[in-house]
Amino acid sequence: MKINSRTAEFLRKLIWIFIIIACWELIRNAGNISPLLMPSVLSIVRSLLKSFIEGSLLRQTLFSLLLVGSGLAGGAILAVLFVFLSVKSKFLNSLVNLLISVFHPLPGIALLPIIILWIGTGAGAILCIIIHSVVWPMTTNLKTGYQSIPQVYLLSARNFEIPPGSVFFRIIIPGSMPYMISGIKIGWARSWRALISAEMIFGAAAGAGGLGWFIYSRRVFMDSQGLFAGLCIVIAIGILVERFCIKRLEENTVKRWGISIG
Amino acid sequence: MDNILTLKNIFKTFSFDNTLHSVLSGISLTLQKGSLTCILGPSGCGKSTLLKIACSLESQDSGDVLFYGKKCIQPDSKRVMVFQEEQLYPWMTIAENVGFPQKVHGNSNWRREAETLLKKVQLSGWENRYPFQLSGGMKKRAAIARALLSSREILIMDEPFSSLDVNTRARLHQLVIDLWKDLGLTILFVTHIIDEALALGERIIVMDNTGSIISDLLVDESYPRDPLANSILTLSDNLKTRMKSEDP
Repeated sequence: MKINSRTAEFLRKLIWIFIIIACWELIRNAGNISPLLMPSVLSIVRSLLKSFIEGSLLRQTLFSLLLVGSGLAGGAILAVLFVFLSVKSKFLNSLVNLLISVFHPLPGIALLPIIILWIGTGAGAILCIIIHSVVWPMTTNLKTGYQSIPQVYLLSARNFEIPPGSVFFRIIIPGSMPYMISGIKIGWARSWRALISAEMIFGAAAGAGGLGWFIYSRRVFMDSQGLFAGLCIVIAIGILVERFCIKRLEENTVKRWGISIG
Repeated sequence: MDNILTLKNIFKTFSFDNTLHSVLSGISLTLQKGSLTCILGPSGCGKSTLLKIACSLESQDSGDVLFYGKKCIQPDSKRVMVFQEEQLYPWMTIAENVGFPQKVHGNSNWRREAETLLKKVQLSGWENRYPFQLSGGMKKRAAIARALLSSREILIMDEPFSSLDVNTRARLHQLVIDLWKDLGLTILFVTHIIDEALALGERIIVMDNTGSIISDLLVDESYPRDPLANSILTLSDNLKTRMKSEDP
């Protein structure tokens, strides 16, 4: 039987997962390590299912996803706005460049004390940190994307008297798509990390809390199985978003258009 | 015949390394409606700059551009240029690329009109493909169709076929001639290839490296032209001598 390269790669990864699980169980049993430090894989799965059936993990996961989705959307809208302003005026471009150089190197979590002072500890504060994590890499990438658009596209648009709004949305935005997707990848990774960190620090201040708070609270109650179950969910969501959202976006845009994304 | 496009005493300088370099030194020319004119000159002699000025995509230091006797300052979709570089948008299908300017300007029939023009440039069946799925010659055909959908008056072409192989170029020359005859277009075609100018031009204007016109001659030969015909060979030698004498 012949299998294609994608299936073969999937099978190789599956084999590695089984090897890692086997090693985990081997070390755990051979070293007589406490289940508090290294719980069995089976107990982690049981805890995962229990939390899902009770509804707490699902609720908290959905809450985290809603927050990160809103933050990503807000960051993306702000990034598009910043690039639009940069394109329109050299004076505003200087301001955007200044903001990028000041805020881009600043980790979102470092802003926490100020955000707590200004906004408090609710969902709004977490949203602020996510937007901060997303907007600067996305603006930088979009700006690079704009600069990389062949001049002939813009010259041709001028020749056909295409209105500025259409030039921006129908030429500049799709023309920047390879860089925009890189920006989304970086933005997603940064926002997901920022969200989990912020939820761990803010706790359940925002309603029932999110996935970060779920993990943190399991540690407080010495529920190691639950803690690892939470980590598994964080990893699984990361992989699913990368594979099904970002990859699909790539396939429906740059790959479909035959544009190389490096 | 009417004068469709007039360039009057065009001067243009560019600044490189804090030094001013003259690119066009007082170019004047008039195109009659329905003519096919080639501008021939070595690379870097200012041909492309002249075309951009003719479309008001670049501003001149002095001189005037007149379209049907009316002074032009802003670009307009009546004077459309086909560029040397790839100009189709990779994220639009061929039909969308061709119809895009019309769609944006509110023409609800853009797709039907685009498909009609694509048929005219022999691209039927390729409407829903993306540019990367087309060969270099096909992309040029689509770019010509897009220009024609906006303007049936004048087509301004900046070395559009220079990156193509000889056979594809010959087929596209025939397409340009067919479109010129069928649609009664005015064509201003820039090239640095003598054979291309001789295959296409009713009139050949030769520019030198100083950005001036050194020769303006009429080619009284019917189409399609035989490149080995005596009259064409004589003209070719004549043009080669003129262009060689201008080499730095």
